[in-house]
Amino acid sequence: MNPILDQLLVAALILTALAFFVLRALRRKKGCNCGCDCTAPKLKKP
Amino acid sequence: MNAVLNATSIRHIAIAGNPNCGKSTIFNALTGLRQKVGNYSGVTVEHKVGRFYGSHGEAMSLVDLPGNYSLQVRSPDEAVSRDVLLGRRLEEPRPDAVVAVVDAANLERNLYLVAQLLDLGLPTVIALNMVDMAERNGIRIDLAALEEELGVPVIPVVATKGTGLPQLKQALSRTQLPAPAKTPPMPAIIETEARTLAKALPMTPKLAFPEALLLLSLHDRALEDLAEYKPDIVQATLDAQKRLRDAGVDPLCALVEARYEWIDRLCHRAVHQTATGLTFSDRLDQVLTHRIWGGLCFLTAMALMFFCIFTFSQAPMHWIDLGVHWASNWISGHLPESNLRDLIADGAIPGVGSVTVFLPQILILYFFLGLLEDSGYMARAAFMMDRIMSAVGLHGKSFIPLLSSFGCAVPGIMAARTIENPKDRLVTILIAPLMTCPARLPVYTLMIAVLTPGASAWTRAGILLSLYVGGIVAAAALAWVFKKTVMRTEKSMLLLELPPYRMPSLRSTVLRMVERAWTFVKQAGTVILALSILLWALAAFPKPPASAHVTASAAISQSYAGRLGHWMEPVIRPLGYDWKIGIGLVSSFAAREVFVGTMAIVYNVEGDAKAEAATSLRDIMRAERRADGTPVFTPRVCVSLLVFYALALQCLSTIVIVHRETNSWRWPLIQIVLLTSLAWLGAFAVFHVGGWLGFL
Amino acid sequence: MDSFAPTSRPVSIALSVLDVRQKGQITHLDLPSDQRARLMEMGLTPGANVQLIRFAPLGDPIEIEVRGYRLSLRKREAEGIRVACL
Repeated sequence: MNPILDQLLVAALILTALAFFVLRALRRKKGCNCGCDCTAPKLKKP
Repeated sequence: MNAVLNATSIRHIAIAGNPNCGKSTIFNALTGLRQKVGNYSGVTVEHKVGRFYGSHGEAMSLVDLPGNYSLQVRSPDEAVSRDVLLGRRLEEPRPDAVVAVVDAANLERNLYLVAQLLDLGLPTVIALNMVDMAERNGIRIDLAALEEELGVPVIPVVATKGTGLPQLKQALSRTQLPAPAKTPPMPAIIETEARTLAKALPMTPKLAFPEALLLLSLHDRALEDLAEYKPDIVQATLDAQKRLRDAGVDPLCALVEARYEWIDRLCHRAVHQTATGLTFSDRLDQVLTHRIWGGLCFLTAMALMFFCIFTFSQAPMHWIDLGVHWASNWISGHLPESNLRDLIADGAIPGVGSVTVFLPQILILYFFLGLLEDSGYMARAAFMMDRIMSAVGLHGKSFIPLLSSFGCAVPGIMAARTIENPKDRLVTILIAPLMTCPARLPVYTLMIAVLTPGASAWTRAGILLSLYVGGIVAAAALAWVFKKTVMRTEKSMLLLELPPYRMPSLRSTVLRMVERAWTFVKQAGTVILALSILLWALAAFPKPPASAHVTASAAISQSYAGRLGHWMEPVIRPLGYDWKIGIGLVSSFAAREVFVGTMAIVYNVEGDAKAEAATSLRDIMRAERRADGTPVFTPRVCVSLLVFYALALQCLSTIVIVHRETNSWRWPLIQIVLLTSLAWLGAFAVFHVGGWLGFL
Repeated sequence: MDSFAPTSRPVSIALSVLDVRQKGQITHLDLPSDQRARLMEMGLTPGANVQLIRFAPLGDPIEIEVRGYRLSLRKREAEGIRVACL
């Protein structure tokens, strides 16, 4: 196997694995992360 | 307001009711496989929604709400039910109609929730479930009278047999679903206050009145709920409550008593109980909760469960193991020699494989847990064990989750969902990994063999037993500390309902088992795959220069994992370890049993025959010497290592499942830090105390 | 309706001291307000009949029958439930 291709593929997989966790952490920050009942009653709705 | 069946909009129906009344059976019977299970955002409550078709073929959406005893909520589950019914949750629109499932053999208490549901003003249909059980217990119900008193249709149903379901569908398919004809009476003073408060709420009067009632009923500790409302509403509520109290009325108690008075009158008219002797369930309980027999039966049942788990999982585990090896070898054989090949064959596949191999045990455990739940025996187990659990500040319901963790922490932690009190639940989840699980056994076996070369099987069994007991003691101690400090709850009550024994439905148990296992595989699989790749990379890179002929052992020792091991050495030297053990610790972060394989690599043990390798590894490790000639694996070190593995959290699947069950990464991280520190301290103590006591 | 004050019944004992299989009628609940509220919602209202069914093998908790179903409570909780013997 072409050694450069080999290195690229492996690096890509490793980076994807890392990105997986980073993205999960970021997504959590955006959404509700407090583990509590985050639904404020929608009192503004008529 | 009547709910009109519109050709363009789909009707949304919610199924509500007490726990244990057969809601889910009705839900499953109506929706079959056309259901989807997800999560409500922000809470670990299952969102079960499905589709069914009415009598005229029109599609309707059905949501199975978590069971609750009252709309005055005491747990996150109950909060979700209340919120969906009030139209507050994003995942579900406010229902167009409600099916209130009522246990016919237990009418009085079930009708309490019905009273609250009627107050909501939504079109309601009562599904009177388990009428066959009621009849058998000598309960005769006058349906016409009941319908008249309640003001809503009442449909007798036997969900497990399917009787009454067509009639239920028909009732829900009517073009116009009428709102309840009458509502339960309430003290005039409360009604007046509620109407006044409702005017202050920014929603339509129809929605505002039930909301106002709920607000008025909030008592001291639940007043934090008010924090979500606007300040003027909070003030109006507090003022109204004060006025009521000054008039000598406790809003919630007054409402409860009014509702039960209504229920008493109603039942007096419509329900006739012919006295029967002891029910079958009661007679069974006399044995199963007996002072002596009860305990024996319980121990037998638990022993049987574990026996089944271990024996029936052996063969499938072996096959999976073979399959994983085969896949790994196939890749090695068919891909050109490269890093990519190694990543897949030595990293990804074994990594995922080491977790998948426990799937049979997980499945069987889920199966038994489902049986226990469905049959009603789970409640008895909690009943009998509550005394012991309370001694360390836990709940009787914590027993089964913790016991299950001896088979595998994953189903055990998931079983903790039945614990209503969030703090109790959290403590249970945090200590679950301390229950010795099968993954620790390979490590224990190896280290005990190194520790006691010529010892009899009895000595080894003795050491093993003390490790099991040690785990339990550590868990109890930790729970006790938690309850005294961080997780203090103001006297949570037991309040455990003991439902009548029921024949568990094999079909729904198997369905639930598959559903839970699949969720685990999906969730854990992705995380574990990613982490396996990363851990492989740590041990594989940097590569030694291709020209030098380096043993596998030397290669791993200069990899990142190896460097981590070296770097860690100061931290683990107080425990008696060296950097080679350090590498083992690093690699077994994901899965404990990996330690053995890693040690084999580090100590250059070749050979596929596991048994040979095991013996030679043991001998090699025992012969290993430090720079100054003293042995590495002295008895103190072995015991220290055993204690470390007994206490540390080294299981990716567990971490993932805790994340899912607590809906955050915070708690898994806390758990890792906590248990690792505990392991370190334990190993440290054992190592040094061993020194003082004169052990080598 | 005033539900705080105990009714003026002379003999009012704790639910936890009933004999096995003995019945009683609840007179009042001597507990913190949220516990009292929760128990009442579960059917343990003043005037309701209860029956002590059994004690757990280890002595605690107890199983009672109220409003047609079985509920288990800790002795500590049951102590606050005052009943008149029937």
